Amino acid sequence: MSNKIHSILNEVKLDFLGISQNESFARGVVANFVSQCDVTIEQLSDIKTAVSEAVTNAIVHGYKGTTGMVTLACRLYSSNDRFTKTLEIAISDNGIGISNVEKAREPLFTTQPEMERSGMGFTVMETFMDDVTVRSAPKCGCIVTMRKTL
Amino acid sequence: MLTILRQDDSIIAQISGDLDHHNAIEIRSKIDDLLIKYPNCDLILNLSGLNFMDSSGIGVIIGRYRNQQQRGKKTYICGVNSKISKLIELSGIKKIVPIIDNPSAISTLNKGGEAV
Ligand SMILES: Nc1ncnc2c1ncn2[C@@H]1O[C@H](COP(=O)(O)OP(=O)(O)OP(=O)(O)O)[C@@H](O)[C@H]1O
Ligand SMILES: [Mg+2]
Repeated sequence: MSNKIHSILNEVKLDFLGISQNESFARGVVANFVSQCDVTIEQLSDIKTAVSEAVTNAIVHGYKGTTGMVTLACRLYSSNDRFTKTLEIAISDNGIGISNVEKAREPLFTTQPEMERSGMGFTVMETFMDDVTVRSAPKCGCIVTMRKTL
Repeated sequence: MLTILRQDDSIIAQISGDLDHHNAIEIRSKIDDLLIKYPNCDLILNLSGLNFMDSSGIGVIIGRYRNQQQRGKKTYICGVNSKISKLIELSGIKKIVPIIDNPSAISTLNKGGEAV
C-alpha cells in the first residue's frame, strides 16, 4: 500500500465492565474520539455501528452467562500522503473465544439463534469498516481490530 | 424508547432513540406482551425516530416477524431513515418484512391494493 501509516496522532485506551449499559457508552467514547477528524455523518454512523457489534459480541458471546472486562483501544494515525488519517479500533475480551474464526465470520452464522441473533455482526463490521482482523482461540478471549481511512 | 398505538387491526410500535442489545430486551418484551393481548393484530414497526440501530435491532424485527407469522399475522416496517438505511439494506430484511411508506398505507394493503 502506498498510503502507509505514518505516525500516531492520538490514542485512548479504556477498560469497562461487559454489561449492556456500556454498549452506548463505548459508542459515545469512539464518536468523541473521531470528532477530532473531519468525519462525515455516514462515516460516524458506520464506526459507531461497527463498535457496537464488537462490544455486544464480547458481552453476549465472550462472557455468555458471566461478566468480565472489555477493553476498547482507539488510535489515530496520520498517513504519508498527509491528506488522510487512519482510525484503528481494537475491542477485546477475555471470554470463551472462538474455535473457528473463519466460520464465525460467515454471514448469518450464529451460535445463539434462540437469543434472536442473526449472525450479521461480523458482516456489518466488514462492510462498515475498511479492514477487520479477528484473533481468537477457545478460552483465550477475542480481539477484533478494525481500521478505517478518514 | 417505545410508544405503542392500536389502530383498527394494527399495533403500531414506534421505536425511537437507540435500538441496540441493551434496549432490545425491554422493547421486545413490551411489544410481545401487547401482541399476546391482541393476537389478531398486524404489527407495524415505525422506525422513524431511531438515531441508532445495530444487528440486535435486526434480530428484534425478525423475531417479531416470526411470532406474527405463527399467528398468521403480518409485520411491516416504516420510517427507515438515513441513520439506519444502510444496515436495513445490508440485512436484506425487506425480502421478508415489507417496508411501507407510512402506517396508513396498511389499510390499503389489506384491501389488496398497493402501498402509496
Ligand atoms: N467475542 C466473542 N467471543 C466468543 N464468540 C464470539 C465473539 N464474537 C463472535 N463470536 C461468535 O461468532 C458468531 C458470529 O458473530 P456475529 O456477530 O457475526 O453474529 P451474532 O452475534 O451471532 O449475531 P448478530 O451479531 O447478528 O446479533 C457468534 O454467534 C459467536 O459464536
Ligand atoms: Mg454479533
